[in-house]
Amino acid sequence: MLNSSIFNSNRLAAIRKVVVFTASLSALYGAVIMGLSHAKVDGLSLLQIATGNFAVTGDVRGTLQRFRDLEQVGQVDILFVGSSHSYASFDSRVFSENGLTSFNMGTPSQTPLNTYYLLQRYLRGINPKLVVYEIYHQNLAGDGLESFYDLTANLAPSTELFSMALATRNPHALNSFSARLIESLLGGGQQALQLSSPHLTYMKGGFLAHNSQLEDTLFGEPKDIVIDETQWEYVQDILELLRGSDAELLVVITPMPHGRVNTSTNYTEISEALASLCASESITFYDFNATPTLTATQYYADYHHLNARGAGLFSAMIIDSLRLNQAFARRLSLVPEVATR
Amino acid sequence: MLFNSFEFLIFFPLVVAFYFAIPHRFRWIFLLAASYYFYMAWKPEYVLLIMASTLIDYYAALRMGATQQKSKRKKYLILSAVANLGLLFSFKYFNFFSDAAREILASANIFYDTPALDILLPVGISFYTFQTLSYTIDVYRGTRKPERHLGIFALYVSFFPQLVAGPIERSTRLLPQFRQGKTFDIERILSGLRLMLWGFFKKLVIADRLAVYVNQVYNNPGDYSGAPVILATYFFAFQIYCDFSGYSDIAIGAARVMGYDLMENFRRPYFAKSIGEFWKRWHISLSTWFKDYLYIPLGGSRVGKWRWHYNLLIVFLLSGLWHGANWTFLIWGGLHGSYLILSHWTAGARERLCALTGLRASPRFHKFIKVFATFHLTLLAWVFFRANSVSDAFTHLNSMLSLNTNGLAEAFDKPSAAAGWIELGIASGALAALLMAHLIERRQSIGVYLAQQPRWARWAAYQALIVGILIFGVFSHAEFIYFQF
Repeated sequence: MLNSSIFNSNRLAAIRKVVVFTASLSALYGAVIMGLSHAKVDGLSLLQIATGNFAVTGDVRGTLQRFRDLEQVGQVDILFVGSSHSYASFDSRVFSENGLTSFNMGTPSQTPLNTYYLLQRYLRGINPKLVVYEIYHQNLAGDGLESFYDLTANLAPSTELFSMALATRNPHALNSFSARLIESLLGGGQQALQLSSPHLTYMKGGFLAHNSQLEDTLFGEPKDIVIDETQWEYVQDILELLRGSDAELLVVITPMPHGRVNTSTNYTEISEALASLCASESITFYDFNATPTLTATQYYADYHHLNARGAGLFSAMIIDSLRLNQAFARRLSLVPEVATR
Repeated sequence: MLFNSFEFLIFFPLVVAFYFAIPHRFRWIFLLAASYYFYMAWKPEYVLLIMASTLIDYYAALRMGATQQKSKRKKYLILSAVANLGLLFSFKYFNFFSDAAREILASANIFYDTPALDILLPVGISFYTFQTLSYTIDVYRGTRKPERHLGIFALYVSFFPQLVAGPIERSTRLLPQFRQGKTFDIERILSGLRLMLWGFFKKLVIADRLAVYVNQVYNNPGDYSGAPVILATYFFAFQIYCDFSGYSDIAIGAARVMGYDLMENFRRPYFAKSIGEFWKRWHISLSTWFKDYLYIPLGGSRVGKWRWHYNLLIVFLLSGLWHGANWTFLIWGGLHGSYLILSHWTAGARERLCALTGLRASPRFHKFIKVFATFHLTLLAWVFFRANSVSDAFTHLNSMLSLNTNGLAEAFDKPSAAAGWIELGIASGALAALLMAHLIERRQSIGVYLAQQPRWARWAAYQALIVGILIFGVFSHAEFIYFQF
């Protein structure tokens, strides 16, 4: 009995040590995070410099405004989600002119990993009739960190953002999330920097009009895109999540200059893999680079984003495609006529 | 599987937990399976190479043990050497020698398209082939009896903590440990975890952070000159040290958690007072391998002067080649061999210089000069080790002669100059922590030093390391430098 009581008290002492160590470690971590995130140099906090997180709250790409708008939007007909190609390509004004309400939840460098958790948070509230999921093939090779930094800088902390941080498997994501969480717990608001640019105009509803035009055609050296297995799994998870909802689903790759497409030497294999995945799930997939679509550089702002003119034309093309698809047309109450633009 | 990966963070605790949960007689099976799984996480089919090497050496050793006839024993030793070195040659050196042959023929105006193999270098092949070769050589010499248990032998070859980047363990040291029962010793486990923590700090905070700067400069020869190139070279000296010794610490710590004692691989090499001493402190498992299995059989220093110099050059050239199939590594090795030869030639002159300058009267300053000179000789050699080609190396050396002091922080490639300087500050702070640890280690081991401190101080040190890794670590899944060997 004496031995077992000694054993129990030893065990209790060990547990107490672990608890105290963990608690003091957490306190030290929190204090260092707070200190580094408040010390700034040239507008960047020491934490940002140390972790390579250069995302800015309220920058010109509009993530902050986009999600503020989202809080006021109720249900919409079409939800666009994906990368910067999403917010650059789908002009909500064109959809509106054709009687369709829409919201564009695209964000910079958004990868499938990021998309999944954003949909988990917002899909039910938006309850769209159709989700247009845009995939930029190069983001399939990413780790989702850049997009996570942008989202953390512009969204309030949430369980979905925390899950996203864990999913990146990178401690820096956790650092950024912790800094944001501590800031919001201490009542720090999002002091948005009102950055503006002559080349980018945010439109209510999430569309970001690119007002410039591509001038040179130096697209870079060709290379293989190595798809990250985790990102591929998230694509499948997204398709499953969306199929489980009430919404129709359309997966697209938006048009890019041919020079850009050709820099990815295995682009065709990636496109075919996506097509095959969608076909296996009976999901409609359009690759707008498979056949020449908006090839002229006058429709592009840079190497891969449509400019406002190109987005207007492309949005009209999308609407025409929706009209031609019976399931989409029926769901959206579209009549078969050419889209106005 | 990399040590600095999420997968290892899951793999290791599970392996340790299961290891201590099962009876000792089953542990070798479990560890063997875990070690193969660890290796297969990289490229599953390449585990067949380890298995092949294991089976050949197991068989060769048994056959050697079955006969006293030297000629027969030699046959099986040759079998082992051909198999292991053949594997190494095929995967690592074939293309290098093929290219060299083509260049030599081209210089004689003979243009022949020499064959090339399009195969990936198996991770760790330089390490495990040398490890098994040391076993068969020891059996041949009669230093040890052949291991009859195939499973235990296979575990010796593939033991995951040291499989892919050493330390290269001698069979006399490691094999017997697999037969000993290991108890759950919390102090030993904590000691192992502390060593792993220090290894992760060196790798993630120091090595990978310095690598950003070094890669930017060394991968763009000619884009930088003067101070940035000099700084990048100093940084590389610490990058490679922290990368490799960090890996060794993690390996030794992981093995210690499970109760296994792996050999020390680094002993504060940049405090060496001579190149000879440097090689007793740097990558100790490899330098002792070359000493015991090549240098001494060649005659070592117990031969005539010129033969001795020849032996030194051969050993260091092969050591350079072991590191990589590139002329830069050969030059690196050749430089170190030359340093040792020159050191012998100039010993008398240096003694006279010391007497003349009165250095003898200032032993501490004299020691500082020796450490300073040795470090800078290794630094010069590191230029070749890191450069992508011989011509790049000379470009970097030439660039260093420039008096330019601008752009020191630019190579960190940050959004602003101030951010670059902050980054430089972080790197410097991490190096200062390393220096502090090494200064403590001159008197006693860090573990003993910390044990003498009050609990709050010990915990503060561990927590500083953990927080430092979480915040200042670079998590781009950068491979350990020695993985490519």
